[in-house]
Amino acid sequence: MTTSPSIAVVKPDFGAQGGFERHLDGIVAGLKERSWRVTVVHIDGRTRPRRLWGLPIDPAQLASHDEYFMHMAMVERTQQLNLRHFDAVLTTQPPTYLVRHSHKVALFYHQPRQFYDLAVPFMASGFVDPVVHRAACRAVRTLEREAVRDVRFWLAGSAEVAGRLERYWSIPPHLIAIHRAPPTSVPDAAPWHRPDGPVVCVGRQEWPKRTELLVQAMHLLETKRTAHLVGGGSRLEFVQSFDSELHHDPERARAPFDDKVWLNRGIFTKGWKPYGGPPSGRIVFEGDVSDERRDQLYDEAVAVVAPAYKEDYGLTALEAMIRAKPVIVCRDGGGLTELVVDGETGLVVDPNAHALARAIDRLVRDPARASQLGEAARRAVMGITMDQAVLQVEHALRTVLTARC
Amino acid sequence: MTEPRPYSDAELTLSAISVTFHRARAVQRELTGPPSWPRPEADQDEAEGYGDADLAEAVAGDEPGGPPMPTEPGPLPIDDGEETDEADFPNPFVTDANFSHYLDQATAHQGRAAGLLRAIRRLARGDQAHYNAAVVNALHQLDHRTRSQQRTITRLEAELARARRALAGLDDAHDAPEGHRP
Repeated sequence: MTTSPSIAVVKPDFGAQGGFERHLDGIVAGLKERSWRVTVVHIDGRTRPRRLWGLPIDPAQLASHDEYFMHMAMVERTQQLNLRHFDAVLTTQPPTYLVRHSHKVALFYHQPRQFYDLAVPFMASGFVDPVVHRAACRAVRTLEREAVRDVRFWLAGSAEVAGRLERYWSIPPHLIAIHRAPPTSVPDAAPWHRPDGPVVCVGRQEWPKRTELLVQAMHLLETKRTAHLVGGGSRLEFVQSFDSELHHDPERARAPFDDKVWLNRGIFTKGWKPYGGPPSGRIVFEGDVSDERRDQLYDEAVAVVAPAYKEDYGLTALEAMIRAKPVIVCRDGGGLTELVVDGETGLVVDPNAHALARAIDRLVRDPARASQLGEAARRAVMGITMDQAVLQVEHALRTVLTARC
Repeated sequence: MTEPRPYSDAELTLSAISVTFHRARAVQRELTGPPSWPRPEADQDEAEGYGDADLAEAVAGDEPGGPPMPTEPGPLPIDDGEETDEADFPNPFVTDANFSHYLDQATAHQGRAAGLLRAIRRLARGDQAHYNAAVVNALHQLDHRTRSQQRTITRLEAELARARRALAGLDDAHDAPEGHRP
């Protein structure tokens, strides 16, 4: 009698339930349905370390570069895991790919990005002392680069992510497959196009989601529309204040776009105070909402805007596309630009408020074209399903297990 | 006696980062041993540049003895399609020298092909489609060149064997008693 292989899924516990967590839940459930014995192993991702590898960490140093020491704490916790009694390991977010095991598959959506592809904008935004951060980048990159060598197969969330694997760790392309997570909910039928609907933007209000671009764009529209911003986060107050400020000073909205609008620390900027004026009324800040409310907003939208910088994947675009909505993304949107093809399934524009405003006006003025883009978008993403994702993970695990024999 | 200047938070943090990193790396090596996956030369280049030209540029100033900056690759080496002609070897008695020369050339071509791959990896950074096409192209070129060199080597080996046989024949003739010379 043969028993099914036992798999450990290693997952950091950040105390949040986002798109990735939902996707992973689906993968775990799918593997179990297919008779795999799956155990999810959590790593503490919330406790600040007092010691690392036996060395005391001074609280002042921890405060000076929280990101580095938190990451290193998770590296240490990951390396302490003994998972040898499992046949294979599926790793997830950073730094679980550093777990010690000879048969690892990485379900990979990003590196600890502030030390990799976001390092330069992270420093430019003033989040950290650049000298300290460069040292931290060097340390993290060198350590991880050596340690990821024993991952046998990588399932990368997008070509953008696969490119980062090659760029920073020289992972050969034949060890990488693109793994597309499905949308969190799929309507039975495509909703009608709503030419009179609002502009919708869904995502955490965090750096570098760049919601500020949409806020400024709403002050530049020639057509009359409101925007609904869905999602809470540490930049929500900053974005609301920015809207009030532009309402009070329309000249500022019309001025040439300045990257400093989003390349900053938000409410943590030294001396920052919220602008006291009233909101413009052009934007409805929805905050965190239920899935039902989010889907309702997607369905009502004339267009969905996803202005984020170098997204790993672009789940919000996928969710909008499956609901037949034309999506507007920026050229430097990373994974978003793999889902949205300019002029076919949405619009891809330069990363500034003026270009976003023109694109929104274009879709509002031409509902037939917007509807056509939305329909094409829906067709383009119909094939991205959870069954397909589970099969791909299963195939990768089987390949790794077979290689052992 | 003056009080020493207190260290700034940034300096202390920098020091702590360095210490934790070296400790972590030492533990990492204890646990896993040296990397099991030998790195090609191109990887070393990337490692030295941390794979991020912007960051590497930003880092350049603060570590004079640090790693060299990644440089933009020059034009790709082109396979000139040069084929060896039989007419190049009319005299079997000089084949030995040519054989050695062509072996060197074959080795150099292999080196060029490897250089081509490295250059393509750097060029195609961040562009998966371009990268895949470039690698396929490079592999075709490498395959073509390897087979071409293999044919040359096989032919030269045959030439060498013939030359040696001819030399042996001459020596036999030279050593043979006069009455037995053919």
